Amino acid sequence: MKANRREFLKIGGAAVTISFLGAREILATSASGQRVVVVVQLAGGNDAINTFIPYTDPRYRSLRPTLAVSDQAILKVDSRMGMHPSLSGVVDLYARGKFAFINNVGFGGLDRSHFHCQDVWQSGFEEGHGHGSGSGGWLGRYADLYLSPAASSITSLAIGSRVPLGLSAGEVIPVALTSAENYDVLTNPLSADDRPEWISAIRSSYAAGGRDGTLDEIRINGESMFQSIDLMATIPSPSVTVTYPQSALGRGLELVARTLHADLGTRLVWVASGGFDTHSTQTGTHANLLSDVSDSLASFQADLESRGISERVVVMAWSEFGRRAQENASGGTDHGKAGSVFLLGDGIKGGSFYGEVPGLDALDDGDLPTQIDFRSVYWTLIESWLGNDPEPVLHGRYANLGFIEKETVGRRRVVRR
Amino acid sequence: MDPIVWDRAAAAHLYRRAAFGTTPEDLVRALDEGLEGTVDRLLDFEAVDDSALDQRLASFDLETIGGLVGWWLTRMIFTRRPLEERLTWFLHDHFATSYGKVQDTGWMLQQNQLLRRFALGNFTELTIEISRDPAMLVWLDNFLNRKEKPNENFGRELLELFTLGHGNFSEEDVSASVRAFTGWTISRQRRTFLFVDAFHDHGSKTFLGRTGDWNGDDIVRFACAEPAHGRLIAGKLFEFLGHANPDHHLVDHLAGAYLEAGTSLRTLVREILTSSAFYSEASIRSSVLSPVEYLVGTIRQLEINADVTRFALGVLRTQGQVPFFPPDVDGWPAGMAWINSGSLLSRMNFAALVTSSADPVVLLERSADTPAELVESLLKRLGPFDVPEATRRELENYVSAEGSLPAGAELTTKMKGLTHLILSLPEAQMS
Repeated sequence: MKANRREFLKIGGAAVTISFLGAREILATSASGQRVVVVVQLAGGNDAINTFIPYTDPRYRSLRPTLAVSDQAILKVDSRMGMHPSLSGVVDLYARGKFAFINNVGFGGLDRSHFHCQDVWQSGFEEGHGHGSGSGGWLGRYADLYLSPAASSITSLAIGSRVPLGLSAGEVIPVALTSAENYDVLTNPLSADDRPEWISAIRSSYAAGGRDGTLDEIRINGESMFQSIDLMATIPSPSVTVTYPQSALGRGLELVARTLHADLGTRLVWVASGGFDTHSTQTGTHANLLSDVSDSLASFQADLESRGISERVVVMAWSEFGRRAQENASGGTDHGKAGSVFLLGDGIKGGSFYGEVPGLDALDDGDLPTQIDFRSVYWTLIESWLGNDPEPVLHGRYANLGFIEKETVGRRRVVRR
Repeated sequence: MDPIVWDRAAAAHLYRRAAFGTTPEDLVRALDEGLEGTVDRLLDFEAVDDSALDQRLASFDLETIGGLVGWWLTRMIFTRRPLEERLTWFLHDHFATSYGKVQDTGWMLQQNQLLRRFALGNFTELTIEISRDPAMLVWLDNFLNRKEKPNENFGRELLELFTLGHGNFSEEDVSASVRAFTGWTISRQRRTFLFVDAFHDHGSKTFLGRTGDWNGDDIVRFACAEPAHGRLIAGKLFEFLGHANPDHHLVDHLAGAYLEAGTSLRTLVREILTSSAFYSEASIRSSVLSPVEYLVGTIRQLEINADVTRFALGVLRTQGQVPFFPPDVDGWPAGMAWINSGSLLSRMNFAALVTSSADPVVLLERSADTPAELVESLLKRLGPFDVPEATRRELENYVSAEGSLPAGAELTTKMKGLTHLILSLPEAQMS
């Protein structure tokens, strides 16, 4: 059932009471053990051609005289495609059938603008996010349509300082956090006795309704904050066996694994990593960026497996556009058109790639043209992984790319330890 | 449009938007001087003696990025020329350049001083200077832009983000812009802008329908004369000072005045701050404070004299708005994008730190006899905030359930706690 804003406020008010219950009761009320989508945004425009490389195409070396990866270093996955050597972590997962990638993903109106293309990818509309009734982001609309805004769950989780457009919704308020440590309200340390009174006063002030739009939204986010403080207090420790890269992405995915293990009803997660706008001297920079992505993803999968929850999580990583096929004079690449998508998880039909080998002989004004609309990726995730009708979310019909395993048991309830 | 009623609420609104907040003295003087007088005093900041600030700034090590961030935050907090810092901050967001890539504190400082020098200056001239600014030349790679194989980064963002806006130019215009800026580079020895003729493309270029051997300055001048440019800057600056989604007639009017004055920021700011739309109901208390605005405004409002820039950095990092580190060339988002569970927690905990560790001046003004009077005086002093009755009762009840003010150390605890509470309210997140 889809609660409207007013009803949600009432549920939110009840959360003050719920928070005094133990963690077990809270978990019992949440959508436990259900499938999760983790979106990883690679902001800046990842250079797809040097990520998943059409290494047998002779044009690769002529277009990239200084940037082409040497043939012996490329991690070949078949007779035509190979991966950048920094992707060794995911090459292993590819071999285990848990990693795949999609070539030539984009949309017709790709215009080489970071901000326009990010807006389109996140909203799911070529017009951008102010699209009439269907505003917000694609996962936000999904949450509004198919997930009830439960008071005692963290349904949507954004790792970082801000909630991205992609998760923004009307009813389901995403929780944003940068760290689970020190995630609690500070009060005057000199007067511990005053703390309960202070907390009670601020919580009641945030629960007091009847104001205009923006204040109301701030208030709802505050209530969501108080609930999430109670819930996040229950998350397990970092893994002692899996080591993540000490990067924003690595630390973010580590926090995601812990949160998913706590089973707080989380269904949608967003993590972002930046720096992919490699206009100059990109060889070292791009290698480091890809190592970070690959090692973070591999650690995340290992962590989920050791926690016994890998079967209910898939990761989809995207970037707003690919880069120009021809390198520029600064040892970098300028903004291009179609790019690639990374897929990870037990639920992914991995060990192969989707979409044709990028055709360096048929460029569109120097860029890879789009062959697969990015909304087909969303369609497949919503239809085959989350099990809902994607059309009301995407306001159109797109192809199912068939990258989800039919046989996974992701709906099985996870045994709580 | 309704005529502007110049009262305490209007003056407080002007100070919140143009000056990072207000003090009781500001309001008394503003009512005395009237709207135009107050706006002109804010605009004529060059006449204001700010030597006390200069002394305070002398202690920062500007060769470290932490020192540079603290230096700027201190300027915003303690300046007596607040409009100068507000507009410098606006221009930093507009020409968003990050130390994360530039990696040179001297160049970041140089760009910051350039923006401050042009805070009320001519936007076209500023943009020409920006195109020669070493931090920008590194940030958007133009120092590598050469005629054989151009680097598109600067030439494209100049049109999309700095001057014309998305949808107001073609790929051919991008190509012309990029070619016109070939050879705009840096002398590493002298650490200054250098034009290298051998790297410059002298061929004919067609930009916005005009064909000729254009250079970078020509591109900036052509772009900044376009109606689309006027609308971009007028709309963006009105949204920054006034409210979101301004009426397009208002934007056209502001854009016209700005272009007619040869892209004068001073003219545009004065038009905005004296417009009835700026003082309208849609504008008052309509804007969500960004993390920097919340932090600077809170410290100014509390009149805290201690250097709090040390822990400010952590607070701003958590909320994703550290000066000199915009997330990308589009700058920071605005409005509700700043509000979520993590950011509200960070704001509340920042307020806890400043109210419990420092002694705010407001705590010394003990003129209340009852909890209700204390709540009323602090709501007025820190805002003024208009809160629902239920919230007011919660605040009074927090001070004392018995209806009488506590005494001694207990009163100090409650006053600090109450200040922390008020700064944590939903109302305190808005300007």
